Amino acid sequence: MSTPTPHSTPGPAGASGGERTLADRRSLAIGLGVPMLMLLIVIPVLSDTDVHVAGVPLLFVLLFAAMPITSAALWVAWRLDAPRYEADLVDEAPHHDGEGER
Amino acid sequence: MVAVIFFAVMALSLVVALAARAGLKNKSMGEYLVGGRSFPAWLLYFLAVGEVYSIGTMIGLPSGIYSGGASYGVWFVGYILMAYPIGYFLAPLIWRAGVRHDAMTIPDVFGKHYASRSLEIVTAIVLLLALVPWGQYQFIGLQVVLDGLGLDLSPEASVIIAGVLAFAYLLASGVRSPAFVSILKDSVMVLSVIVVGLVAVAEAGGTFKTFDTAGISKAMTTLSGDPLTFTVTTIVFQSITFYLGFSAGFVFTSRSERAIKSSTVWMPMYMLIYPFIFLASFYAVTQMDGIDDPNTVFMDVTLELLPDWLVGVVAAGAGLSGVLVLSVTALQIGGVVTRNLIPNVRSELQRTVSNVVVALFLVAGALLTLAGSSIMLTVLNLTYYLLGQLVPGWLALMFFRRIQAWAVSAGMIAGFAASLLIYNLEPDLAGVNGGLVAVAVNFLLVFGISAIAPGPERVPMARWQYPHRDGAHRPPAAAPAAAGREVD
Repeated sequence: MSTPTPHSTPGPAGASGGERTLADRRSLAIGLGVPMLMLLIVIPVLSDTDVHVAGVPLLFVLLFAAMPITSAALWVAWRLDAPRYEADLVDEAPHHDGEGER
Repeated sequence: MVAVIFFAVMALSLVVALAARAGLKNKSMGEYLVGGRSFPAWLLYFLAVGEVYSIGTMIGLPSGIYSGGASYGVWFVGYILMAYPIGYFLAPLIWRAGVRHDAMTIPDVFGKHYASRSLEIVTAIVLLLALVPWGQYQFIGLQVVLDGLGLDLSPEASVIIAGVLAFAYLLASGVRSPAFVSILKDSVMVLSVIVVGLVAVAEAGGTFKTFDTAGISKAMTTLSGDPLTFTVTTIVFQSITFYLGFSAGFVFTSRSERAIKSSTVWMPMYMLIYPFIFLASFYAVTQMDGIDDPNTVFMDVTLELLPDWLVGVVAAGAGLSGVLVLSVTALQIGGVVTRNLIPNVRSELQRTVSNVVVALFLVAGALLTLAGSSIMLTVLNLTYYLLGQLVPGWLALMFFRRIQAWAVSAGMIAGFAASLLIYNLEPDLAGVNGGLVAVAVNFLLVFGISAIAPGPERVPMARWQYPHRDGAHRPPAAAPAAAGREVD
């Protein structure tokens, strides 16, 4: 058993249980909230219509639009979260095992 | 010509698989199963999409749209899309559990977190059984692809060839190989899907003709009533199960929580291949005469519209995705058998038993494929029904302190049984996904029993931070890292 040492940087609070910050809540609201709104509210509400956009049924247009919207929402969430994961960057360089041995 | 190109691409993929492992000094189980927990974000991305976009994307989805209309198309795309935001927040906890318990399989995590050998075994058995329909799903697709090669193969010959291809991959296996092969597979797959979709819409005379609703049912392009309920409940249930039931395998390979999160951000963009699959599927619905077996829709469209050499490329993309997923699944199965079912026997015996179980898995999937024709997406639903029974145990270990190990086992067994009953009896659930009902039973048992008779105090993953080295979060690769600390 090694002795746990305190973090030199604040832990990834949203995931690891530290105090929840405003950034955590905003990250959750945007990263999870926007896709949920799109897929579980907007699409079901507008799913029973004969409207077509450029020949494509509205239901499918909304579904396809949700893909870049979800990536955009996650990108914003990651902008908010990234500063709390800076300590992980140390490992982005090659190290002694795995790929480093190839 | 079709068959020559198909087998040439398959052979090339084997070369890539072998090259990915050539020169790798680390031959440990940790390297074999979880890549030494060393994958950077970009490699994680390709392993993830390699596993996610299986043969169901090219063969299963068009079959579902053709036979089930908009509901199948929307839930299939919707649950994968919804899974990414959920994974963005939960997958780091899965990875952390893997690090904390030096886990390479889900049963490793459950057994060690709850300190219960019996729970580890129950989880292993549930996982192994749940993967059988997943194997069947790949075999159905592979059978369709091989049928489309124009070799006049019998169904038996098709599944045998598919099984042999999967076995060839096993020989070059280890999780690093599929990650690199998936780069080839995704290139071929994306190219194929875009070409088929564009040619289909051009041949039909534009999107207005492709989605012409004049001669088709309203349910092909709209949702209401029970199909809408099924769509929404399936998106909810399967999107949660996606990471907690399916994807721990590739999450464990990550080198950090940062890599998991950053790789997830752009995964939804890969889904922009789906509009092209919808175009091809609706070409079949509106422009082609009746197709006897819905599972063959995508290959029928391809054969009708493309020259032979391009059909070969499309078939290779689909085939590669099926074989790749079969081999990754077999890898997981081997890991579960050796680490969780027979961990304390000598290694030669472990290898023999593992090979036998993997062979049984392939044979079971093949036999189920031959036993009867099933719509692929229905088989996918069953896979999720069963894998979904891992969800309550995961959420309990992530967020709750005093959960009883035997309550998790009881919930899993009851949920598994309920899943099979619902799938076979098909009761009227007013459109609600049967897996969601089964997992509700599971939840009730896990949390009900634990409320009445609480288990010992355990630090949930959301409250646990791993020890860091030199300011970094990462623990030694695939080594025990049990000495974390609780954070409040």
